[in-house]
Amino acid sequence: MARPRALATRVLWAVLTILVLGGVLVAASTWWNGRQAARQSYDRILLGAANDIAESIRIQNGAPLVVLPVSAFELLAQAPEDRIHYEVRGPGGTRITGIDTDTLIAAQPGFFDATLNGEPARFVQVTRRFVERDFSGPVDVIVGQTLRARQAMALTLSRDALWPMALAGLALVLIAWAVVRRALAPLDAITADLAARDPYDLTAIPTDDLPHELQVPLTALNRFMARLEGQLDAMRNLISDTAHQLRTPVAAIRVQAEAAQAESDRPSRALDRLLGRTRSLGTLLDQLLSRALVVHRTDSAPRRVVDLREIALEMIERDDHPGLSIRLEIGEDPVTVRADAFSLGEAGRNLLGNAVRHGQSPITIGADRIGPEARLWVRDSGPGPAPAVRDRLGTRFNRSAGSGETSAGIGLSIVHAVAAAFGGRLDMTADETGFTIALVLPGEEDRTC
Amino acid sequence: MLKWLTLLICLSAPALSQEAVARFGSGPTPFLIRSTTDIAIIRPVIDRFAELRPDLTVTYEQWGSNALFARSRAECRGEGTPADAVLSSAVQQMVWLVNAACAQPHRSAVTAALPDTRRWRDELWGITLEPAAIAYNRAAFAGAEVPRSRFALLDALRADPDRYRNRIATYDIAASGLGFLFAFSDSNEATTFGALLEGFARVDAVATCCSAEIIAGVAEGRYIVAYNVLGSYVASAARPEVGMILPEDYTLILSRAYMIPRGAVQAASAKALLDYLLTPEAQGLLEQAGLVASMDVTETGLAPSARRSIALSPSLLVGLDQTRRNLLLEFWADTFAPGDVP
Amino acid sequence: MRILMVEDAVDLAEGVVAHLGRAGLTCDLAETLEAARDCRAVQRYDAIILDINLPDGSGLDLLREMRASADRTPVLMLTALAEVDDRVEALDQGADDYLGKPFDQRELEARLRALVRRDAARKEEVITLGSLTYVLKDRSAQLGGRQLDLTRREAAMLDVLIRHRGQYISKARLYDSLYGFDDADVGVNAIELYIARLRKRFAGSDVAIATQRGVGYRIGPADG
Repeated sequence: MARPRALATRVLWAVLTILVLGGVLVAASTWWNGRQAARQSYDRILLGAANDIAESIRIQNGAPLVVLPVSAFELLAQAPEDRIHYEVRGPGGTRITGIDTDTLIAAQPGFFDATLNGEPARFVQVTRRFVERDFSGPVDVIVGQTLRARQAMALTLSRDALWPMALAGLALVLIAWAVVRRALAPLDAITADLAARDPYDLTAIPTDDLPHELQVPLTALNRFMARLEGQLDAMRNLISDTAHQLRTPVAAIRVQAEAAQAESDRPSRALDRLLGRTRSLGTLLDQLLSRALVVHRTDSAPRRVVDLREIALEMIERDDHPGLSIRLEIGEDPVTVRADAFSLGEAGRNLLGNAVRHGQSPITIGADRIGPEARLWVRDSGPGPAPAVRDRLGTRFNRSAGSGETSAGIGLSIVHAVAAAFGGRLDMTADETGFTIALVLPGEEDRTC
Repeated sequence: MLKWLTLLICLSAPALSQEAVARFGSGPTPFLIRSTTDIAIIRPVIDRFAELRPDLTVTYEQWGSNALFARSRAECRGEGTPADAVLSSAVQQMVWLVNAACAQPHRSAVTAALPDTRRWRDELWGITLEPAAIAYNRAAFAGAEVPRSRFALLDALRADPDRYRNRIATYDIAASGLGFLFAFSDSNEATTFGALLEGFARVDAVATCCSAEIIAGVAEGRYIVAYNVLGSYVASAARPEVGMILPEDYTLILSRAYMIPRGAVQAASAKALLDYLLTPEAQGLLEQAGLVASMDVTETGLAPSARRSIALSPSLLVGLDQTRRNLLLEFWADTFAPGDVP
Repeated sequence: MRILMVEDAVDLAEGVVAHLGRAGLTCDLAETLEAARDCRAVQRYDAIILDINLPDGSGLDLLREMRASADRTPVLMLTALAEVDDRVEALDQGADDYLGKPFDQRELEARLRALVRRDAARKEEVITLGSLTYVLKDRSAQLGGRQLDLTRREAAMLDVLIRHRGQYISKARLYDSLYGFDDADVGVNAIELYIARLRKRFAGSDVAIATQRGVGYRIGPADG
């Protein structure tokens, strides 16, 4: 598909088309005017010469005698490069004199066009009537001339007239170009501004000093961006605010439940369950907040070169998992990706959390590089989830079948979100040694070494 | 080749009225010039051209002007084999031919450099510069003032008609195209012409046919003044007895006209010849031959304002008009009593 | 031991106070900053549990006031905010520990005891290296008067390094120091990463860990 032409190009083309059309019209009319002017002036000369000759006719011995005046020819010599023709005819078309008996011109009264020895020419026929004692009747004088001088004059006239117009046209094109550039300059500035803008920058575009036509769409765009940002903020804040606001009451419920359990003499199943639920509610709040943060950060945080080995180490360091045997399996070389360390950390934490909750000890955390891909993985010694469950894993808020009351399935959705944000995927493999879940990301050439 | 040449000559034989023929070079391509200029005078230039173009065999035919005109008109109508180049002193006839579309155009740097009077439509070019002079017998004017203008001549005729009786010569305009051209140009140029003819009539001036005869007459003292003699012939005759004056009131200057016939077979060579004729080299050769007169004021004493070039222009056509011609001839005939021609 | 708890969620606070009471820790409750200031004016406490969001201000203000008046009473921050940034800020302001809501009361109790212990130990066996103060007894460290939030393994490694300060310690020996943590095996390759983490914590200070390729690591004053 052809790329749509730029606005400036369109306008300039339109202006050029108008100018060219106008130029063609002006040129045609100028040429026509020049031709008319040349025709009139040279017709006058032709007529003058014919009249000269006609005046010089006198009747002698009962016959018209033509004493050709040199002046007539000098008049015709105004067109120095043109061939001429003259002929004087008596009554009945009898030839009295003429330049060349071989050249026959089909004459008609007044001005007419004909060819003269193969060249286009203009003629005039002037008739003088004699009423004398010994001669009466019309005598026709035919004078003709080829068209070189006329054409040269028409050309000169139109060229002289066209020169300034061509210059004016050129000036108009330049001015039009400048005007279009100037008029579109704010648009260009906005285009450059928008192109250079961070995709997550939703601050308003300044509309001061902009033409009205641009202010309208820009104001609309600004309103739209403001609304978008407001909604984004609201959504971002809704989750984290909710999580924050819920923490204190959840903490209170937990403390109260623990107090009730401590004060009670006999064990209560209901109290145990209440305590269990409040604990998992705390985890859920953590995950909700974590997910909100990850979504926010993958949208906005700058991507840096991160060593997945450090993420794996941090996973071990961050939370204590008493009673579990956790191994770290990393190599000597950095396993680098381009991502946000916090989001990766949250993803890893959830991978580990799932393994701790659903898998079997010992658990191994590792980071390695396979070809162009970098992996952050967690392996437990269990069989992993059933294939049917595995397929549904990671959809947001999907509770895996075995999660019971300790998980809300947000964990994997965080991992999925992180994988998608950094152009990676989630990889699950199960074999006789255990179940491995890996966050696979495109590897980055290590630039720190 | 020789056969072809023979054929050419045979073909043109019926209309043969050329006065002389000369051949230059022996190249494979025939090249035909028809001219009114005496072979003897122009020979060095054509020689040189033949040297430059070894591929050509140049045939130079010398014609009388009226015969050449008739022949060229016939060629223009498609009768007979056309010449490749035509050079004529009867420029009015050449103008007529060009006007009748019998020529083909050519334009080069040297032709473009010609003044307007020596160029028409880029189809006709003035090659030479030859003044119409007054020739006089030096002995007759020994110690006396030579008339340096037409007025001076008229005064002289009036002052002493008997001294000039039968001793003024000029061309017979009925017989000489060149004479007619000069007379016609004079009649257009000034009213002096009528007075001059009257003066000539009073002293029984002699109208005769040819330049050579006139110059010889002046040299021998039969004529003491010859009017409107072509300066080039006076120069080439090289008769020390003959003096030459370029009239100070005005001097007619003739440029022999060169034309390439529309049907010319060797048009390219004809154009090359034209360009060559206008080169400084050829002009120098022509000057030596007397065909290009130096127009330097210090040499001729002729003011530039007194020069009257016979311009190659349609105005010359008036001279060819039969009525007009007859009138002039009548006028002439009235002036020069019949029987004056020896 | 006497503890002051500054918390506006009364049910939560009362539950905690009751629990601590059962564990033998006397605990006063202040629901506002104002009340907390009053309590502190009349009573000396061994530790303070301080909530951040309070009706009349932020708990961090009180913390700043205390540290500004050179009061070194251990403070455990308690808040609904759990982001890393909040945690770092609290520690930067001079808090000694941090616990996010909801929390396990046993952990709260353990941490309180640790704080009090550490406070006492600070006056005992301490190794000082430039602006770094290391308390041998509970393996806690302060840099320029600020508590370092070391993980257990970081603390274990720092312990080995600082005890042999000025000497190069091999990677293998550092790895041996982590043997105590039988719940997780990080492997010898992790040593380098732990060193990097420690270095990050000391960044910009007058303490540095030097590496001698093929030999090991050494802690000492920064060269320049």
